[in-house]
Amino acid sequence: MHLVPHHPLREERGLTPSAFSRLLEWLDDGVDSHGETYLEMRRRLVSYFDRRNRLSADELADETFNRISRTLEKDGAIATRPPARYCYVVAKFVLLEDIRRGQLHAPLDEPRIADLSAARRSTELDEGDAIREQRLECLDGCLQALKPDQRELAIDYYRDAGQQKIERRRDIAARLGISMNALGIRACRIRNTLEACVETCCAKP
Amino acid sequence: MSLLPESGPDDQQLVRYLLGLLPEEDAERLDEASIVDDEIAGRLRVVEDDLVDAYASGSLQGESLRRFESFYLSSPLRRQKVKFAGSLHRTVNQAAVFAAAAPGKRAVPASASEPVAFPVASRPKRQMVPGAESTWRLAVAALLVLACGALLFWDARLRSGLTEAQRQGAALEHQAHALEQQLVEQRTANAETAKELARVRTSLADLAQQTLDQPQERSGSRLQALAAFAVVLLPPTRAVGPIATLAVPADTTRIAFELRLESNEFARYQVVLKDLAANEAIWRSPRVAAMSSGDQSSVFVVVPAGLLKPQHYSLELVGQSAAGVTQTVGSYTVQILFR
Repeated sequence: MHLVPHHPLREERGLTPSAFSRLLEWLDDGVDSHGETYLEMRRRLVSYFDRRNRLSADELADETFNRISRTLEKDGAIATRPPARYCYVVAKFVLLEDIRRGQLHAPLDEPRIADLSAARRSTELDEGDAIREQRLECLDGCLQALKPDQRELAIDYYRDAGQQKIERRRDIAARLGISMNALGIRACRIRNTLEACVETCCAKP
Repeated sequence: MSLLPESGPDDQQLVRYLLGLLPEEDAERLDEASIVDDEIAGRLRVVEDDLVDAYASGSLQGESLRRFESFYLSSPLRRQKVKFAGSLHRTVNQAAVFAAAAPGKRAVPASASEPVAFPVASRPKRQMVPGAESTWRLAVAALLVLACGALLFWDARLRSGLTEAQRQGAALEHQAHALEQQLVEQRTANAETAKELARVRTSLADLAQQTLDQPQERSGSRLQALAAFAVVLLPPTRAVGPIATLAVPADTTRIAFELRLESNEFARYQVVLKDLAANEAIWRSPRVAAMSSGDQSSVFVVVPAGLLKPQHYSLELVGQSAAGVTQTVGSYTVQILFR
C-alpha cells in the first residue's frame, strides 16, 4: 500500500478572478504591466523557495500570493512598500512554516534531499536518448517559433565559451547600443520563453 | 559580519550564493534582494544561467564543479534547468555552424536528427553536412583573397603617399642646398638665413617622420594642418559602463585617438578599426610604439574621419612582442556622431 502524505498547502482555495485582478493591480503599483510583474515576481518566489531546498516551491509561491490577496481583501491596502518587499516578508513566513512542517512530518514518497547522493543526482541527468532527442527536436521547433531577431540574439548570445563568449557578448551589446546587463536580461527572457515552450512540447503525448 | 560590499554583490559572490557557499547572514540579504531588488534579481538570473551553461558545456572545474553537483543539483527544478542548458548548448552551437556554412538559409536545422558538425569535443558528434566542409574552405579562401586585395590596395596607397612625400622631400632638400650655397656665398652669420635653413631642415625631418608614421591621405595636396579632432579613450574594463560618444565636427578630416593602456607590455602596437554594424575591420594603423608620460602609457593613432559614419565602432588594440608574437590587448568601443 502506498501512502500519500497530507499536505496542508493543497487545501487552500484558489484566487477568485476579482481577487486575482486586485493582486495584479497591487503588484503593478500604478504601472500596468499586463501581468508581467506578477509572472516575474512568481518566478522570483519559486527560485527563492527552490534555493532554500523546498520541494514544493511552486505551491509555496502560490501560497504567498494567496495570503497577500487575503490581506488585500481584508484590509483594502497594504502599507509596506514597495510590493516586492511585502512579497518577501510573506514568503519568509511561508518558508519558515514549511520548514517547521518538514521537521515534524517526514515526507513518505518524496526523496529527502539530504539523502540524495551526488552519484544519484548525476545519474538522474543521464536520461534516455529518446527523451534527449525529443527535447532537442522541441528546442529546434521552439527556436523557429521565435522572431528572427530574437532567434539570432539567442544563438549569438549562448554560443561559444570562455573569453570568446564574453567578447561576442560585448560586441552584441555595442551593436545594439545597450549595456551588458540589459543584454543579459534580454537573453534571459528569450531563454525563459524557450524553456516554457520546450516544457509544453515535451509534455505532449 | 557581512562579506557583501556596500555597493552590492559582484558576480563571484552571486555564484557563491547559488552554490550555497555564503554565510547565512549574507545569504539572507541576497534572498531578500533576489525578490526586492530588480537589478540584483536580473543579474542573478544571468549569473545562474551562465553557471548552468558552464556545467552543461563541461567548462566548470574544481571546487565549483564539486559544489555544483553536490548542492545545486539537489533540486529537481534545477536539474531540469541543467538538462535544458545541455540541449540549448548543443542546438545553438550547431545552429551557429550551420549558419556559417550555409549563409542565407535558416540557422536551425530542419530536424535534430539532421547530421550537423558539432565542435565541442566532449559531446557526441554528428556527421558533417555533405558539402559544408568544402563551403567552409571556399569561404576561407574568399576571405584570404579579400584580405590580399585589401593589403594590395593599402600598399598602393602607401606607395603613392611615399612617392609624394619623397617628391616634396626632394624639393625641400633642394631648397636647403640653395640656402646653404647662399650662406657660403655671403659668408656672414645672417641670423634670418640661418633660421630659414634650420626651419627647412626641421620640416624635412617632420616630413620624413610623417612618411613613416602616417601616409598622405590626399595625393597631390600640400602638407598643411588639416582639421583634426583629438580624443582620449581609457582602458576597457569588465565593469558595465557607458560607451564613449564622440560628437565630431562635420569638417573634421582626421581623428587622433589616444588609447590609454593599463600596462605597456609590447614592443609595438597596431590598432584595428572595426565597423560593429557590419562586423568587419575597415582600417588598420601602422605598427607604433606606446608613448609614456610618467606612469601612463598610451598608443596614439590618427584615423581618417572620412571612413567613419554615425554608428558604433571598436578600436581593437593588438600588441606585438619583440619576437613578433601578436595578442589582442583590448577593445575600445566608441559611438561616432557628426555635428
